[in-house]
Amino acid sequence: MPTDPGEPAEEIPWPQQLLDSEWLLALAAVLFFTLSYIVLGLIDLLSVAPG
Amino acid sequence: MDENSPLDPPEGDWWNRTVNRRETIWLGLSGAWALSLFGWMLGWTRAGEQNQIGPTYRVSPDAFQAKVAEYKNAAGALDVDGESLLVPQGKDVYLGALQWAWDGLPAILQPGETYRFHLGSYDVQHGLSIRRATNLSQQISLQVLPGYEWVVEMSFDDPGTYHVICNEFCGTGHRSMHGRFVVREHDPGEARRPDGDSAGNAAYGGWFTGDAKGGATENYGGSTADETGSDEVTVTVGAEGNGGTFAFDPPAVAVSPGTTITFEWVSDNHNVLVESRPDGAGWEGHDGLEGEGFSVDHTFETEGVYTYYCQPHLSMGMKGAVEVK
Amino acid sequence: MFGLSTFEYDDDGFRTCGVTGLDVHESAEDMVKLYGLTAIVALLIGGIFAFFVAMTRWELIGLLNPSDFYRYLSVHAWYLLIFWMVFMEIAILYVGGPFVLGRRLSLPWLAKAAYGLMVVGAVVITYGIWTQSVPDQAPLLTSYAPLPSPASFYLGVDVFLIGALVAALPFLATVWREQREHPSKTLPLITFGAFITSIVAAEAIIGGLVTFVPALLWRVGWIPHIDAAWYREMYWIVGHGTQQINLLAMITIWYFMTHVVGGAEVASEKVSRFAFVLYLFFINMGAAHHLLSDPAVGTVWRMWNTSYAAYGAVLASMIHAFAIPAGLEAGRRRKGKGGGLFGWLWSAPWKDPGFSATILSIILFGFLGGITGVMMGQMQLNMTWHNTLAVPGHFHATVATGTTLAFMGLGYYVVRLVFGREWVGGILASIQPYLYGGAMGVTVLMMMYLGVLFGVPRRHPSVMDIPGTEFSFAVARPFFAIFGITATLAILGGALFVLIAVASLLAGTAFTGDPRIEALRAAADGGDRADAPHHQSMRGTFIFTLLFLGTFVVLWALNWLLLSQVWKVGP
Repeated sequence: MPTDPGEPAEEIPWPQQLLDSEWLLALAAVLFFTLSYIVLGLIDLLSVAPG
Repeated sequence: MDENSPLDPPEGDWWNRTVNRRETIWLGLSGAWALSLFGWMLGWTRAGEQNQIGPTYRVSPDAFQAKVAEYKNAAGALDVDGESLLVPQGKDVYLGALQWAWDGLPAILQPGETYRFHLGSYDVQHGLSIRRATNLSQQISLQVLPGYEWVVEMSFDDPGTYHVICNEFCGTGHRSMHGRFVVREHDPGEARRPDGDSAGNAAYGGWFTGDAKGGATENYGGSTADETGSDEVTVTVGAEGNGGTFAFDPPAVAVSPGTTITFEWVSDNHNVLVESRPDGAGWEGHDGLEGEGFSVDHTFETEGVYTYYCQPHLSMGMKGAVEVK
Repeated sequence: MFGLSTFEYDDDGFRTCGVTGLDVHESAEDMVKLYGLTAIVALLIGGIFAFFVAMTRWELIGLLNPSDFYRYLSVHAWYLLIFWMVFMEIAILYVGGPFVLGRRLSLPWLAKAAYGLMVVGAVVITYGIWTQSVPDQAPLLTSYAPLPSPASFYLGVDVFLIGALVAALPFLATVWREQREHPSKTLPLITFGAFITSIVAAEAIIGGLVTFVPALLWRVGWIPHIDAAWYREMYWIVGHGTQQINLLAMITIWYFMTHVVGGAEVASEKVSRFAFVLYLFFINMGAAHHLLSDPAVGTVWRMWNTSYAAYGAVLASMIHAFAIPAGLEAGRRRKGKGGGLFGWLWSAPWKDPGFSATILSIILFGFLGGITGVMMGQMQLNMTWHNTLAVPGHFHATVATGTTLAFMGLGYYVVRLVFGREWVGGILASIQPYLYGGAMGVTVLMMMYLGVLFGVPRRHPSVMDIPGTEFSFAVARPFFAIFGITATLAILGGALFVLIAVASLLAGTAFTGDPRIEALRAAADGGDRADAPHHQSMRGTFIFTLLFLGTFVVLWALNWLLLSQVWKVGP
């Protein structure tokens, strides 16, 4: 088992690097939620026609 | 350090580690199930008969209350088993949810007919919960919001009684919100105009009829209580009547000038708003919603007719009149 | 802190756990004790109020009058759905972060300040509920505008939420610092799970502040009007989001406990982590579940959000449903505890309440909670579930069996590994999870039958006596009777946990290790490196998950069949 915390011996595949970038993932997720749930929902509410 | 422990960081390239064959199969099965769930839900909007989809309109609670009153005024009435049921004049059925009743019920509907249900609230959020009396599993619930009118089509093939309760907490009287409608073959031609437009029609300018603001006042029988000569007169606020505790008792009273009328609340959530008063009269009514035990009085000096109403229950017909002569 | 622990720290404030091998720092452990014990106090109070609520809905007893019912229901809801859960979840973050990483807790003063805010918030919320009087109404959990709640209630909620948000910061700072020091290291799976939990929590809490700060301003008259549809859309971010925190925390505990107590290993890092990321993106969209039978919000919005983006988050749940038992199976097979199809399961420590609570949590959450959640989250099916007693049935399955059992299991091991105390009560500790889980499981089933098959409403103190009509739900009485009895047993089972935990802290002997767990660890260290978990057979797990999927499909189909018998609704 490598004990050196520096450069890993193997090339790390990009999906692993992505899964390791949890702050980036968190930001993307919060943006997605804001759009999908909050913004799209508000658009629905604001476009309710006067009766 | 245990390579396979969830407590230790995995080393090197863990992305390319083999996945167990059965785990991979399960991934496939789960993905297929997820897509099936989504597809079915989408598909049901086309092929299924139960979809809570319908246009929504922005309508203030007061404006919706007025719409329901207008609807009730135009509707007919049929006596079924000793009860007067509302007969909608067309395909539109209005249901107003309020603290604490269902305005527009009881009603009778034609089996198999597609109705447009107009749902709205006069005050707070309510839960429209309908079930068939002889099969409680046939039941649905829809949310009813103040400020919004939701139009949902419904048609009932199975005849019988349908019970309506409120299943969204709406305050102390929540559990008493019950109404019903009957689905039964009937001849719309037999429906008559509702009470309140014959006896005493002209009295007080038709104030107690459905032609005036709000609903028809069922507890007004056409006569005015004569209290001229009495020193103390009481009008009960929120007495039984008009489909709940929505009555002023007596609805019309005559008093001599200088008489003090005490308005005594016997149930919750009522106010007294003045619709009209003689020139120079100073009565302001009582704006705030009050509950059982509250009372307020006013000494009526100026001669003439004063008309008043309870705002939350206007469409139920909670109206009154004071005649000073 | 508290002086109840039997462990000692070195000069740097660290100690090494004899069971997990983790390096634990005092700064983190103090906070785990503080938040964890507070959670158990909340459980106790919420449980007492549960008794009053259950004995009122069981109308043979009919304990409370209507206005008391709503007050007690509000306290029951806040203490169990929020305080028991959120205080424990902060403790879990501090375990998943500093404990697992072997670090000090960053910004410990912030953790203490946050605790103060959360307690003050909780006290003010309680005050608001308890002193509520007309024109205010009891808030329940939702406090649906424009029905007013006491102004103090809204204030308390805002303070509590800010506190919870601040409490997550020391955890996030700890993770941040770890990654600054070791940028190319992957976080352990537990820490990764805890991180996802904290982000889902932050989303939920911020949604709560967006709801309850304007609600407070409206209640005190600074804002003239609050829109009911907007309130519902925003409220459910925190309303359902807090429950998603429970889901994430629970799953993180499942990985933790099956490993520590059962010898589980990670079946596939990438699959489990991928599932956590699916949760991160999609799980909070489930807030839309509560608006499916609402006006105003459109059909596309409802279906896209309620499905967690075409069931992305359900895929995640199903992944964990395989990965966790598979990890247990693979880990135990590799350590020589396997044997045949299910030998790895029969040989597992079923008398260990930490283990049994965890497994019961997995089974009950999956079968009772997860399946019903997906079903009533299907837009059209929702019409037959909305506002019925089946809704509390569902969330008692998820929270009161699933998450609560997981927290109880963890709690047993906090007693041992954080406080260094052995459990008192012997056989009572062993049976407690079964008693609680079994009784609560039946209670939950009753609530669901009553809701879906009889349409019995939720939030009603009495359905056998409806003023002004002969109509009632009298035919459902037998189900209410079963509900009343099993609810009482469940509450007793919960009380037993509190009793055992507190008694162990005060009077338990020093915990000196568990030989069975030590044997598991020895087997792990001695394993052949080439003999990885994915090489192990997972056929036992596969059968269980197929059984689960089969149950899912059958129950789902039955629900749609029931819906198809309702009258025509919609275009």
